[in-house]
This record gives sequence, structure tokens and C-alpha cells, in this order.
Amino acid sequence: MIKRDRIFYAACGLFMVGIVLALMEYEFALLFIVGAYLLRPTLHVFDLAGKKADERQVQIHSRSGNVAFIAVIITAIGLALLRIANGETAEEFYALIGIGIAARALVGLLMIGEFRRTGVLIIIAVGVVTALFGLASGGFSPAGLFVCLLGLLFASLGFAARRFPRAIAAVLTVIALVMIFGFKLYQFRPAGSAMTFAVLVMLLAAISIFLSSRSEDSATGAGSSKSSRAIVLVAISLSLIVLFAYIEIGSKSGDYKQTANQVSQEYTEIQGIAAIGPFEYYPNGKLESCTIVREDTLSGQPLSAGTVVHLTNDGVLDWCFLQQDTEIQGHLCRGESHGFMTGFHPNGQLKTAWLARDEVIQGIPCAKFRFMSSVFGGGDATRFHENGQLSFCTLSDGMTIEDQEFEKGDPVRFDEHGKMIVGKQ
Amino acid sequence: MKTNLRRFRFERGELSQQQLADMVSVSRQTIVAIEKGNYSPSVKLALLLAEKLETTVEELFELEDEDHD
Repeated sequence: MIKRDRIFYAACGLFMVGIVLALMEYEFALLFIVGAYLLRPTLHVFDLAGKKADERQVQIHSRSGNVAFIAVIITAIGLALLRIANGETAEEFYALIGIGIAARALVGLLMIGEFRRTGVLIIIAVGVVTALFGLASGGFSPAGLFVCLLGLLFASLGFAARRFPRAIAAVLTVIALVMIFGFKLYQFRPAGSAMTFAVLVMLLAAISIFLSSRSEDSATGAGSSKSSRAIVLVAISLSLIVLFAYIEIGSKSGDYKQTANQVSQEYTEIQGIAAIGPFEYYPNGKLESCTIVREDTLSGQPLSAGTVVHLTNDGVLDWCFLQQDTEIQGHLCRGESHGFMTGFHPNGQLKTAWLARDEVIQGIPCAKFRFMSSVFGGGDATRFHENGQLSFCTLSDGMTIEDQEFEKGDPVRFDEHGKMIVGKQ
Repeated sequence: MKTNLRRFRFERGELSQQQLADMVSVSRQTIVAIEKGNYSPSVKLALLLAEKLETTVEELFELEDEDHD
């Protein structure tokens, strides 16, 4: 039996809007259709359904929501494992799982209603997770230890926040603002998952602490102001989570969708290449760079639509930004619009590649692109000489090379004959 | 937990499930679930039911032996 009240009619309105948008072939129509379904339970959760809330229905919504959350997480894990088994990356599923678990933990903390404690716990938890992640990802390498120390420092700020909450919240706010303006994050460009996440977490923790009051821990704290603060904080938290998801997930496919849309609109055939701009030309009129709009082979290399290509003065493929992970000369190279440059020698031999998976190349276990690269930038590209000999890589596993023992994460360099150039220091 | 909700509902002018539901601002399905013993109401709802049926919470609801485990 469907309860016909204002919420029901509002949901119907949302649903009809979604249907109209779907008929007009707008993809975000799904948001309205799903929003119509989730309107009532969402209003119940935030205690905004007023007298229209039936406690048993609220309990059913809560329990079914928990089951649905578990189902989504298990499905995401399964799909991620399937991707990995196929030798593909599963970054989107990691982000989905991380966002889901973080949102659940965060809302659970906020519902306790002790904002200062929530802010402190956020700082400590993120610090500890960062420290563990640094060790898990980089081991005891300098980069891994650095990230671990950074995480422990962040966690120690959390412990300090228990004594000086507002001072630490002010410090976090200043650091976040410096990062936002220093790295121009206000332009909503992906500056690295770690940086975006760190800024959002710092802002969230600071806001949570600032929203707390001195009477918070007393049994007779102001009830109505507490619930309104809770609503504000949850709304801000979920907005930040959605913002993070947009920056990290949406922006990665944004360029490709823009390119795909433009294919159906207008493209130019220039010097045998179907492409869209911005176009750059050499003084002699030869094409220097563009974005190809369909699968094409340049300098003997098949490239997918959306790849940004740069050509030499002679029209030879120099480097490119792959739109998606692409197999290049037997190596799965990472693609992400303007994130990872794949380079070529003049003879067409692969020169620089960001591996999308760990790979044994000429007997050397070479590491794929790792999280550390997104934090520190550069360093993990695999390079080749013009004769195809491996020039540089970061080891994905420990091994002995020319009687020297190397550990996972160590860089190794070879000359064009395959002889190691620099030994372990 | 055992409930005498149905009995008290009839004793108070043969109230229908819908009428009682409207009096305490819940759905009829909730009243049905309570009477069948499939749902334990909150303290607030239990007090409201007792007030509308002019009785006490202890008269409306009784703990059973397994509830003491």
C-alpha cells in the first residue's frame, strides 16, 4: 500500500522529470529517477519527514539500506577483482568502495552527535589509515616511510585536537586553504587523489570541530540546535564526498565524453588525421598536436579515439596522452587524458610508458604506476632505449641483478646493451 | 513479547486498525505488525497507544519467557 502524502507527490514529480529527461536522452535523468525512489528514506534519515515518518518504516528503510550497502560493496569488490584478473585497472571500483565505507563511517560518527569527538576521530582515523597505506603501498622505501610519517603526523594532530580542538581546526583550515590556492584545486582539476582527499578530510574535520559547542558533552545539551547542526554537518559531509567523487571519477571520463560528443558534431581532417582542437602547428605549417576523434594508426602505432597526440616536425608520433589504458608494443600503458605521457623514439620504438600493471620486461619485474606517483609526481615511468632495450624501471619485486640485491621499489637503470648502469647505493 | 493491543482496541469502541493508526500517527501496517508480534514499538509509540486506549503500557505489552534470556 503506497502512502499518498506530500513526499509521495514530490517523488512522483521527480520521477516524471527523470522520464522526460530520459526521453530527451540526457544521461543524468537516472539521477532524478533514483532520487524519486530514495526521497522518502533520505528524508527519514535526516529527520525531515516530520509527522509523515512511521517509525517502523524508518526501521525498515534503515535495515534495507544496510543490506543494499553491503550488496553494493560486495558487487564492487567482485567487479574490481574481475578487472584485476583481466589485467585491467580497477581504480573506479576502489574509489566507489572507499567512498561508500567512508560515507558510512562518517555518517555513523555524525549521528552520535558529538561533533568535536567526530572531528578528532576523523583526523586520527585518516592519519592512521594513511600511515598504513604508505607502508602497504611503498613498503620501507623512502617514499613509503615518508607517507607513513605524514600519516602519523596527521594522527598526532588528531590527538592534539582533543586538548586544543579549535586551534587544531584552525591549523587544518589554513593548511587546506593553502593547498586549495597553491595547487589551484578551485579549478576542479584532478591534482591527485591523495591531495584532493586530504583537503576534503581536513575541511570536514575542521568544520565538525567548529560546529561543536562547550555544552556538547553534557546530558542537557540544546536539543534543537544540536539536530540542526547535525543536519548542516551531514549535508556538508555528503556534499564533500560527492565533490570528491566528481573530481576523481567524473573528471576522468569528462574529457573522453566531451571528445565523443564532439565526434558527432564537427571534426577536421588535417594531414590525414581526423581530429579536433586545440590544434598546434609548426612554423612550416605541419601539424604539431591535436586530439584524434577515432581509432587511428600513427607512425605504425594504433591509438584509441580521444588520444592527444604530439608529432615531430616530420610528422612522426612523438608522444601522446592516452585516453584509456592501451596496449602499446606489448605493454599495457596507463591512460588518463593529461595524466600520463607515453613517449616514442623517432624510429617508433616505445620510449616512455606508465605501466598499467606489473610486468616482467626482459626478465626484470617492472612496477606499474602506483599511488606514490600521484602524490609526488613522476618517478615511476618505465623507459626504453631506441633499440627496445629496457632503460629504466622501478622494481615490482626484489631480485638480484649482476650480483647485487635489490628490493621492491628500487629503481634500476640499464644501457642499450642491457648492462646495469648504476648499482644499488 | 506478547501484546493485548487487539483486545484493548475492541474494548475501546471497536476501533479499527486504521482508526487507531491515525490516532497515533503511524501506518495501519505498523498496527498490524504490532498486533501480530512482528514489531516492537518504541517507548514513545507504546506510551501513545496506552494513552489513546486509556490503559497502561504494562497492560498492553507483556514480556514472555524468552524475552528474559
